[in-house]
Amino acid sequence: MKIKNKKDIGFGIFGILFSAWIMYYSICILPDAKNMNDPGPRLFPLIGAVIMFICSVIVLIKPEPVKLDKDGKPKRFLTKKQWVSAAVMFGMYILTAVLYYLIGFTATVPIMLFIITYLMSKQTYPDMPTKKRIIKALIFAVIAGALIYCAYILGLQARLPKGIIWKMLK
Amino acid sequence: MLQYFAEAFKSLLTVQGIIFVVAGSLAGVILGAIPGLGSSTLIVVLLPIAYKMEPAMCMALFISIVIGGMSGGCIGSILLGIPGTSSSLTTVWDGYEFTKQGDPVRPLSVAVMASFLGTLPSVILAVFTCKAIAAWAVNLYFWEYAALCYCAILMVVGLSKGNLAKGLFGAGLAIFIASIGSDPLDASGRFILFNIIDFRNGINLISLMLGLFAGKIIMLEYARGEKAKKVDVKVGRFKWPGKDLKENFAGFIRSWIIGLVIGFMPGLGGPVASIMAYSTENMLAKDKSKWGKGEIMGVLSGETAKNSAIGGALIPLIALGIPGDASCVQFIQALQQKNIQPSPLLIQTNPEIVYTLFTAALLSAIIIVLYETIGMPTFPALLKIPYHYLYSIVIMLALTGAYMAQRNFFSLIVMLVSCCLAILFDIFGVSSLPFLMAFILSPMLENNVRKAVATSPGFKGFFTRPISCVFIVVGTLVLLYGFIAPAIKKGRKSKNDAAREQAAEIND
Repeated sequence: MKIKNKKDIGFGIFGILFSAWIMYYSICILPDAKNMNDPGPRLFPLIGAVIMFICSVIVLIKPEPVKLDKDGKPKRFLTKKQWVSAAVMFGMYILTAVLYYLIGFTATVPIMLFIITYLMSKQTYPDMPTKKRIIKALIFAVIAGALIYCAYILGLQARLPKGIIWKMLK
Repeated sequence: MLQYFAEAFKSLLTVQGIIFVVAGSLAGVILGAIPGLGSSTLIVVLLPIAYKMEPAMCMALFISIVIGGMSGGCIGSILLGIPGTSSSLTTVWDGYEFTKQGDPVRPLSVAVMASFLGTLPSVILAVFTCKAIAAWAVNLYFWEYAALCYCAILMVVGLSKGNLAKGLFGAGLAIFIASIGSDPLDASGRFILFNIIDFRNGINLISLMLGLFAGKIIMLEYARGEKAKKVDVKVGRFKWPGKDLKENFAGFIRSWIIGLVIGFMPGLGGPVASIMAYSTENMLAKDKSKWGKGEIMGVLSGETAKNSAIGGALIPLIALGIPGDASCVQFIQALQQKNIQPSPLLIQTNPEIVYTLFTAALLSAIIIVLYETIGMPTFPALLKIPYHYLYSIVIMLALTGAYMAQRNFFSLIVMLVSCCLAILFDIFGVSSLPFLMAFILSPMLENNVRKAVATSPGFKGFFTRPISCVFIVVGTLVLLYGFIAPAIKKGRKSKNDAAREQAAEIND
């Protein structure tokens, strides 16, 4: 029995709608009145949208066959548990961005290094005792954080976020 | 030319130069050996700080990392059975078999020498061909340049792996995303979404790449929970593989040529080169029984081809300003940060950059072969580096780099969004290479198309000028071939099946 590739059907429908939206907005862009020969700024967004539209229609009409796993079930990109882990890691990225804004680069780096190292070490060495893992992650966060600080702030003299909280406290 | 080489050599013999080339080469080998990361992740993470470096030194560092990564890929493949980089896939098939049989030194020695002998002559050839091609290319005008960009984008789409329609969709999406912000000719705003002023500067390539590579890789590695694999193999000292090289010399030359030609074609690079060379040698082999069970030519072919592809990819980068593979895109971005536009004029206007790049490539190849021959017993230690320390540093550097790209939180958001986009690409099977290539070439394409049409009205000029017409025809044919080839293969397969059924019926 042939299994319908719902992913590709979804991809096709989304692609058509998205490209139609770009086409509409591209047409609204006014051409340059100074040079009548220049096709104007709307040409390339329109080309991009037309390419996406045609490709989405092709994918919708002719979806790829569903890839099956060993048990003959449709292959999953990630399991539910793996999606949760991916979301946790993405949450770490967002948290870093938020902390950059709030407390700045210098304070964020060691904190996030500690959290991420601790989380990852749980996976790579599941048998390691929690206390030992925390201590190792802490030592690593302090040393690596100091090295990153030296490299970016002292070495490169990069202008990195200082954090609004410290500004407000001043 | 010799004078430029002497100057480049002099600048690389400074403390900074030596540190960059040695550290770059070794870091490349380590990251190449560790499955999952790869040298391109390191270059992406270093891109935001490249603006602080001298462009020539930056190129020296980056090329050393690339060559190190390409060479180091074989270590994970042979010792763990997991390819360190996608280019080392073919090395797993035969190289790991030797390790299982208790002899990892033979494939490692062959791979080390193949890497060196693949890289060195290809870079030397690039030195000579780049100048000639660039001298020819300076006579190209808007029409030819636009056609060249068109051809490069379509070749990447047509020849890259995965579904063609989805690859082309990725290119279309990249053209749209690249057109967000100010119009390159009249500076009017396009797609200033939700009236957010930051969109006016467009989408930054560095943030985009950090999300597409570093952000996505670490997120997926964590999600899939890859555990550190124990390496129990002991590796002895390097053994000169003279006999293996001598016996397979013809195959070595064939693989080297295949790698060079494939490296030259935009978007293909090491992975395709190694697979093509491996399949060619497998096809030509008289005794196929050992292939996949420990055939030394299986290691030699792939390793030679993927390394000779480095020199091949440098030719369009230096001579035409067209990236040969994903790492060349990063080279272009690093130069553009310094307001240096890679083009056929680069070799005339900035010879110090070009020749430092070549000299560093040659020095790096020598440093790597020295390290890998002397330090072969340390290879298992490279694979024992705890992933959680490495990944947490990479992700912090990536996020910091994303902020530094435009020194605002908008570019950090761009990185996070592009990380999600990369995951979506993986879910739906959209190859990210056509997307990346179209994103970098789209502004160049737009500039040249619009200038060409403004100079002589209409699109006729693209077809009346012979070089431009050839590029357009080649690009279109490659794309069409990509669409038609699966149908032809399917037709052949069904014909063979029908013939087999008929033969079975007759037999019955």
